[in-house]
Amino acid sequence: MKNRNALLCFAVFLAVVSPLPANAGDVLSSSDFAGEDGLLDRRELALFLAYKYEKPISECMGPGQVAVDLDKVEKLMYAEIATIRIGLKARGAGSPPWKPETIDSLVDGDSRREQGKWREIPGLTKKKPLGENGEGGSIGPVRLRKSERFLDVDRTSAKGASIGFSDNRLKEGRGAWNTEGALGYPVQLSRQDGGGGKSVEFEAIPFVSWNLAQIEGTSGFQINELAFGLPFIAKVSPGVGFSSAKWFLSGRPYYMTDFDFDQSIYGVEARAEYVGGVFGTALNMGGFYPLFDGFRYSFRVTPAMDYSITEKAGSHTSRRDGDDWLRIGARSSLDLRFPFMLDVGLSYLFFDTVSGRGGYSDLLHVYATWWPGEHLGMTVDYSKGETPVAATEIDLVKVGVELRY
Amino acid sequence: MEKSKKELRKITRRQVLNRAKKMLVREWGLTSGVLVKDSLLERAPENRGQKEVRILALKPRIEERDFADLEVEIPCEELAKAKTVGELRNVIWDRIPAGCRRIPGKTGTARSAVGVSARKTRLSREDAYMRTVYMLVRLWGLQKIPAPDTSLTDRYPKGLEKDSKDISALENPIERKDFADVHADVRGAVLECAKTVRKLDEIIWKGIPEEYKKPDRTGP
Repeated sequence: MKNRNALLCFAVFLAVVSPLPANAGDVLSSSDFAGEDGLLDRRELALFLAYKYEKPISECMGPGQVAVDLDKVEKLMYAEIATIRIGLKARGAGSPPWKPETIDSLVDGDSRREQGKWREIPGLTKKKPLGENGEGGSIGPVRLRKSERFLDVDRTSAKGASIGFSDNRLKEGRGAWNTEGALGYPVQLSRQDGGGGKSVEFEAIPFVSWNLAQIEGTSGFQINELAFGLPFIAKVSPGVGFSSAKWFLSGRPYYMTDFDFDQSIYGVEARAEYVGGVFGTALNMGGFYPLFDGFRYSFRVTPAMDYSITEKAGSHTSRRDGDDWLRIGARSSLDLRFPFMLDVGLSYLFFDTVSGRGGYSDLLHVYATWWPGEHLGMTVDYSKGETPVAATEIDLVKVGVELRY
Repeated sequence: MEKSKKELRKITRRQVLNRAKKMLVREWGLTSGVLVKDSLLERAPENRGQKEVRILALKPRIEERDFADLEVEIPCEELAKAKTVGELRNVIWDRIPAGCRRIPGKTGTARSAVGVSARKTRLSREDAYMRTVYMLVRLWGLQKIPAPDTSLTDRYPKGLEKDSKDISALENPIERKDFADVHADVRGAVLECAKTVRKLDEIIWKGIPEEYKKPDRTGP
């Protein structure tokens, strides 16, 4: 038995140090790791999993040792063993030893992913933790999104910056360009008092955002917005109930102008978003949740309040010099995700003026994006209504590419 | 996962003895049965002249095979004290969680019979990982058990396509439900750094005080 284990250890060691992929031709199967009784105990399972997932079991040999410490192999493979045990429990085969065929049916393909070196630059392309184990918070990475409201969500849930071009051959001109995006850099500071699920953390995401769109046959850009802002986000864990619940409260001071710096609008917007299960229903708010096999949904509702003052009006806003407004409203969005990398969704934003000029304004946005790559998508979207700050009327169809990071 | 009180298997001293006897016959390749008064040293086969080694080698078999369902853990020094089959039975019996012992003629468990105080939960590395996975399956409605290296953020089916807000929101259920009994203390900002299920589990593990962790069997 001991010799058998030693041979298997040697086989695993060779598989790991070999330049050939270990599963090329499936050299060994779980039955090769079984004991004399034809069954696998925990250690034999650990060795098999180490082989299967190409784990470096050289870590399980002390200095000067030639034999692999099986306890250490078990320790190294704890997560894989636990995953197998969950499957075994579901089949009523909780205690060792186990049949090799049962183990084979539970061993999944390795889902590790290759990471390019460029994605591993801390603070720039990868989050850089602050303090020990990131307890102080984190900085970075740079985020490229469709608008500032996507800056505080992860890449897979966000829409990317878009650039599009159209050329109507029936009209004179050189076609029309449009682009919309936001570039931000998150700085997260963490401080925790108390416990039991109660905490407050802060994040700031300084950003610059733009929205430019031409109409063919006319000169210049009909939509021309350039904004700078510094949103402060408080992440509040209430510490009540058992749900996965958190509140994200943000205050966003901003300055909006156009690319010629001919207009100036200052303002501050406050927003709140709830992420977690909605009590008493199967509905979840936040990122994507399964709807049925392969289909997912994301539902968000964000109440908001906005105060802004127009210091200087320009040709790219319907607002006048010196006017101000205080408005309340909300944005709600429903996104659906299909298996073949297709996202479709709609969002509706409305504001009603509490004081000052402005009245009621809304903006409907519908889109479909196909993501052939992680960072690159092809998109069609339609917007109708008024832009939220400059209050420029739009009724716009855009076709283009999306880039996100 | 920690078993609930109702799910715990209960065992009598007689059953412990029978299991121990079967184990000795199987492990040592004995051709005849063993009696309760038999000396372990006399019955153990030689291992390069060291019979004690054969007794200590029973430890993984007891913990992982014959008494695995009772979550028994026996330190080597305790095992070395057993000189007879009966003493081996006593050593194992003493290490069986109070809630799993059945005393014939008495209702309830030995804990209630002898007034043993409730045990403090102590999680092994593997138990903690399983709890993490069960929590994700429950909260995120996962349709299959994720592998340890499954990305939390990548798109389905490569990952679980959750964004940092969803990961951060796990703080509440970790501290209030799934790891409340072991007083786990985690931060949303640190949880957000997790990119895989394994990394998330490591962060939760670091947040569990040492007194609630089972000692590492492999030693330093």
